[in-house]
Amino acid sequence: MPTAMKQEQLEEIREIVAEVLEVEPEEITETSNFANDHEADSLRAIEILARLEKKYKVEIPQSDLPKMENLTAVYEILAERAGWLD
Amino acid sequence: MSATFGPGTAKSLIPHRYPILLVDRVLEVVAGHSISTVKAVTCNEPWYQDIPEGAQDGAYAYPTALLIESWCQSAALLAACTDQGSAGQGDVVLFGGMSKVAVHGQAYPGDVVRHEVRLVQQTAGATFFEGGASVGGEPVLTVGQAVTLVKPAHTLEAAAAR
Repeated sequence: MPTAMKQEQLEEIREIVAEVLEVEPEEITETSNFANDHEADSLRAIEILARLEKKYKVEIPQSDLPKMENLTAVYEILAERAGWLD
Repeated sequence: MSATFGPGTAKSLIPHRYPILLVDRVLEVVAGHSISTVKAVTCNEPWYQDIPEGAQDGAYAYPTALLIESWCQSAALLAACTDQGSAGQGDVVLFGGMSKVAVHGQAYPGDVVRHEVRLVQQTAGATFFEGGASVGGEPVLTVGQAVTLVKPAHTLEAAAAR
């Protein structure tokens, strides 16, 4: 996948996560931890999962929830489920 | 499934009881999709008993927190009629949270509040709802998002014991 596209998708995901966690998108780095750095709880995590499922029309199993702890991890899970990986 | 039913059936679906069962009738429910309910406000309600003598009519505005509770109970009824969002044997349905809630007006004794709840999405054990409430066609409440969660009861018992 071209890097420009990945960057665009990362930005989209960052926007969604920021909206759910009620912080500015720039506060969310690729490795900042949703729970420890942005005070996310399990309900917020489920909200993020739900928003991503809706936007990208994919199904993310509940077992992926614990892994969705930062932007990088969310991107990787989504890339796998949405078939963005070559 | 589309059905009209009263408190008897409602009580078989959700655990709320007097004086906090705040849905009088279900007008229509489409499992997995939407529900329309009504809540009639009267001056007999317990919340009005301490209003001082000589208070004006405006003092009898139905408490907003209870209006929201009434809407949430409608959502719980919809969830109960929907496979994935209902409590199975040994499960408990929990209120998760709500956001983008706006109050536009008040209900008073004599008003019939009509609630509309739509099921938006179900995933990861959570059910997402949206909708609102109106009196005589005028909106009094809009809810951008409400979330309920189904959890196994034993996980809650473990938490309570800590």
